[in-house]
Amino acid sequence: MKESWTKLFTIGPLPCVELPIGVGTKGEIFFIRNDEEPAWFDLSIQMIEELGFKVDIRKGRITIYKESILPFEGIND
Amino acid sequence: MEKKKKKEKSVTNEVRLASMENGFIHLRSSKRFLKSEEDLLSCLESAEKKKKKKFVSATNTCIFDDIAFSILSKLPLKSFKRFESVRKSWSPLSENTHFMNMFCNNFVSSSNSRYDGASLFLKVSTWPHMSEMQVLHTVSGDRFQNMVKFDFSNPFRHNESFDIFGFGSVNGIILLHQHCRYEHALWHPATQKFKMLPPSPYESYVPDDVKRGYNIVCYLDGFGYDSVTDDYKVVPYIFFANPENEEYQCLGNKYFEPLWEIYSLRSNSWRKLDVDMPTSLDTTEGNHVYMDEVCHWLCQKDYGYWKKHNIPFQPSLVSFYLCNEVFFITPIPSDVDDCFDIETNWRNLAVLNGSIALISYYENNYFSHINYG
Repeated sequence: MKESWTKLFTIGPLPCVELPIGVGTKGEIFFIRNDEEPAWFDLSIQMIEELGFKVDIRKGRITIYKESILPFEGIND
Repeated sequence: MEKKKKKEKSVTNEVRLASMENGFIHLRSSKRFLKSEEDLLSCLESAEKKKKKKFVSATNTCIFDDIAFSILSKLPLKSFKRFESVRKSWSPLSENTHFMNMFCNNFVSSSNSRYDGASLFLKVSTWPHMSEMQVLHTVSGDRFQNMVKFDFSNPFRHNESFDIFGFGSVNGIILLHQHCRYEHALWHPATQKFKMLPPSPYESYVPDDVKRGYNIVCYLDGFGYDSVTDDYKVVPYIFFANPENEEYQCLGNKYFEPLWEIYSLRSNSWRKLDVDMPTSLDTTEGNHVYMDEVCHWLCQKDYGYWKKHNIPFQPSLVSFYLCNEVFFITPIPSDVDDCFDIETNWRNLAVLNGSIALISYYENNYFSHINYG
């Protein structure tokens, strides 16, 4: 099923990456840099961007969260 | 003659108005208004046939390549793959650098209604008193410039560290997983409510001698929503490992076969799942992904399924449909991505523009990004 997959991007080398920590909704790749600061790679402009804040991260993880206030059964226990 | 020229001009201008909104192509031609991909496909095909039969000159019936490329580059990946073979001169479009640059640019910059308004959770581990503590932040803004600590209390006993399962929330609900203790919690951040899942009754399936001699190990492979039953479901894989043997005996042992379970939020209960499919045996956060009522995970090694069924193993994506409990295996050939052949530092699955993406990070500092459409 080779035709099922399409290679879209090959990025790098990015020597400052210490540890990737997740992917955003537009394919942004989040990672921790060698200097322990969080950063992300913007696929649309092919650039590394800083996150603009500092956080002590030795082990991190990025997850997507889309709020829904719809009530649903079962969770209100 | 003059009239004909005028007509041709208007065709060209109108075709250039092609745009794509909400997944539909609006392509205005002199004769018809194209509303769907089917229309575009048949239009391209009939233009191609006419061109071959030389009934009419190509200029006023066929869509020029540059315009067609511009339209095709805006299609979802799956549709683009269908169109790839319409014209001989295009094939294979996915190897045309100019076209792929155009396609990739649109792919990452187009709006994705599935996640409109979404923010990110950043989970950070700290060690304030020699033991791990997890803190959550929400990250938002166009350039992810806003970070706010999220008021959150760990639902697990002794504040033990947990994983966030999958790529993200499912209808605003997040599945938290405490791997060591085999505990799960559904979390609805909007109302700050938790639902601890009841313990699985797997012990009742298992003969006593298995319980005594083996460790029971659970790996989560699926979490998602099933609209047919309006229910949220969690799908773990359970097997029995011999503590004296370093290798987990995943295919089962002389006592007991591994099994799949499924939890239903609606009934707040577990049951055995009557299905034999490959597991991921992976606890890396982000190596499982949910999209449109289907759970997907990576199977990077043969943990028994291929051997058992006497099929040559290939690293694969396993897709499990929550509504009918059927699964599909999509191999990931090494010439598409060799991330399974060599030691990669990291892999993650993601949902990108309605397709499943596999992103790998290699030791030589390269990322590769392949998509399933």
